[in-house]
Amino acid sequence: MSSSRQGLSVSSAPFVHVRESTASLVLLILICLLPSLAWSVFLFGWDVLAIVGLSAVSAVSAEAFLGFLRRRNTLLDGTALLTGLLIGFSMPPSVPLHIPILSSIFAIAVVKWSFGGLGANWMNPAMAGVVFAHINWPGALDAWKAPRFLTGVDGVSSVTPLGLLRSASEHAEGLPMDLLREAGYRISGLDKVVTARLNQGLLSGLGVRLPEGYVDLALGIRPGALGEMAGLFILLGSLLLIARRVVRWEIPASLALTFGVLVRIFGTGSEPLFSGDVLFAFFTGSFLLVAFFCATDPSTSPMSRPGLLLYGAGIGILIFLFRRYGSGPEGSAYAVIIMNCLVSLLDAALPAAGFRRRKAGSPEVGK
Amino acid sequence: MSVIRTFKYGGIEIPPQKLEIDSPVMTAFLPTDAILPLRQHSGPAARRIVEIGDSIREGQLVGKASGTGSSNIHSPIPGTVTGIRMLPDLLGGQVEALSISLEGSFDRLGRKVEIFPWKSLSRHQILRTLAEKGVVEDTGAGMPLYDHLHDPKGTRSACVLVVNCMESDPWNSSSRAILQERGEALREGIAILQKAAAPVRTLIAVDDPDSPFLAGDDRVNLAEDGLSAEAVLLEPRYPQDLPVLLREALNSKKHSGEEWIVLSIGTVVSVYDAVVLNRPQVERYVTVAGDAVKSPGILRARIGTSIGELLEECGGFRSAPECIVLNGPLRGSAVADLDYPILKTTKSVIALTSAETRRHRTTACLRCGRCVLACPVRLDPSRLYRCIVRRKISTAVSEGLGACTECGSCAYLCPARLPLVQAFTLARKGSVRTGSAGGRSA
Repeated sequence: MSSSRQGLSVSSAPFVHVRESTASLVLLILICLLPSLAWSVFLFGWDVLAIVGLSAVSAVSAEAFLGFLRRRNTLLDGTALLTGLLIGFSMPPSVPLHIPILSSIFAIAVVKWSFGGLGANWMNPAMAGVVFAHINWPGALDAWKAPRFLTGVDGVSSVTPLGLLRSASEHAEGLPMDLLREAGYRISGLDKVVTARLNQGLLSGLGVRLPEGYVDLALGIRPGALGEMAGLFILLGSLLLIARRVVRWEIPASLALTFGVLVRIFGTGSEPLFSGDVLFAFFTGSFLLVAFFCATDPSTSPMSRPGLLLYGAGIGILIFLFRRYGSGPEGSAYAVIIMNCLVSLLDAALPAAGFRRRKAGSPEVGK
Repeated sequence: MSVIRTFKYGGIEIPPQKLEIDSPVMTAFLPTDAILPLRQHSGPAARRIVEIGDSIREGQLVGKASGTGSSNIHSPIPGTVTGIRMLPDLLGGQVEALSISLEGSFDRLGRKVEIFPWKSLSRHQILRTLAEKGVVEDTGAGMPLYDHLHDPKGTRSACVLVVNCMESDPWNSSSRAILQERGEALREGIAILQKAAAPVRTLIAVDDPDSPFLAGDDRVNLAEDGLSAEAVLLEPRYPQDLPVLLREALNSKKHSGEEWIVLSIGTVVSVYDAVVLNRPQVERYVTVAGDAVKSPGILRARIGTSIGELLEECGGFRSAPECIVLNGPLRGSAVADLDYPILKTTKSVIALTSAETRRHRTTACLRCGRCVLACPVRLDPSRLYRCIVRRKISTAVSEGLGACTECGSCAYLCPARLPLVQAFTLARKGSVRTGSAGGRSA
């Protein structure tokens, strides 16, 4: 044969492929995270780039080193970079730099590679890295500062709305926003202007009134972790990801629905039954980032539609439980890695292939 | 026709390709040296009945069918047998092939066409003619029509004849060309097949809403004596033309006892040529396309013409092809040798650039689930692949490996570029072995 002479490839069918590759899917996720990063830099200054950058660099370095040991170059798929970025995103703005570095290395070296790297992930490496940081440096991870924008000065230490609410609701009852206001939570001028505009315009026609404070939450003008600030950007990015089918819609849909319903019924703090503040719960903490970018990681979620729905619902229930009854204000990362560990069970119980479902019903089974 | 039918699960949408189907069909030059493998059908190779140095006429029998699945081979050109050599078979292994160099005069080309009044023929006479003229299904493995249609034990209670006028993939446009050029022959061919197979229903499956079969009524009149067929419109959705999915799309009950005979449009035209024009199957329509080809087109070419000659007639290469594929990029096979001939079953020659193949390095499975959603027979390709990689072939078999149609939808979509179909094919070849060896070890 003259394959070498004419330089033609003789692999096997199919010879054509869809445009998407592993790297291009990861790249699209990275692009969807960029607005949040830029916004975070705007809110907290250039330190953000140091934290996120170091986190990403250490994750990629760990991947490169382990890949070198295993003689596998897995850098180009971009998943290590994404893991590092997500860990950086979960850090508070004033975190000491060794924490993101060590967490990223732990995520890649221990969680990702101990079971064989991409494709064999038993839990989401980024979420495991975040949990690692929370367990080892609980103090450093609960030290927040307010955005420059809100105080006019840089580096004023502060408490997140969730943390503030937690302490406030210990000795008072009521809706989260009311409690926060009583506890001295600052609302930005921007929020006041935008809320007033919205109430006069769009919302007056609908007959609803938006209280002050929610625009701040949606835009991340509040103390919080780096990547979770702009809930609005996260939502827009995730819409793109769902539209391009990079993430399956089933997970965020069932997660948000379960969490929303539970919050509405039981509330997140001390409000009466059936009057929970869903909007507040969605836009505080890392809920949106976790629901749309971490829980949706396909390699640590089930394959079948019922499996995906159950998985999302499970995370929703756990996040609610951790937030309502847990000891720390933030439990999303724990919720994700707990459900990650159940994925193989979900996959076994709810096979993705219709063929197996049909077969399971029939007595005839191959030898 | 208001209903557009399609199969229930999976399938993929492939963006349309750039081939201009309105360009007229070109008649390819006759090959100066035809290469004629003696196996162009599903069964065993035909028995060679000529020797080196023999001079042969156009359309002369050179290989005699030997058993079920085998078919007669005729010479596409007049000339002299100059060589006999082994050629790789696309289905695996090697096959004997004749080289015939063009010489002498044509008995048929340029002569007046004689129309044979086939209506006086009996069913068996038609079948015998089809066997004699070496008519095989012109797609897939190339099952001889005689084997398709004859019913030796008389066990067939009822059969449904389906004429598949759909394109097998977006790279192919031969069906449309045949419809344009041979519309009358097609109608009459269907009528002949109705006589030969006596189907209870005849369906014409089309995927083009502008198809002439859909004009007016959904009954298509085939011949003046009242024979007719039903036209059904299907959504152009890959892999629409698989017989299993065609049945699903047309709502046939699986256990209705009806046997489905699905024939491609080109085959039906060959039936007409064999029965009415007394012509052996030595010619076919070939789509030459792909981004690497300068001016893609549809050619009417003699069997035995090399793919290199066809590519040259289409202006040669515009850019260096990464691979040249016969019979479509999703299910076909790559050839490395431009001297490889067109067979009775070669429907297309596609020269793909690297921009079209979009091959990447394989990464680990992302578990994205695209393959599961794409599988038309509802398998979980990622899971089967994992089983095969871990050498648990029997698990893969019990999870439906045998139902795989190797349509390539899963591997087309896989972002990790896992060689899914390749693994399934190898495992099935291997699982036959383990199946027989299983008894020994047990």
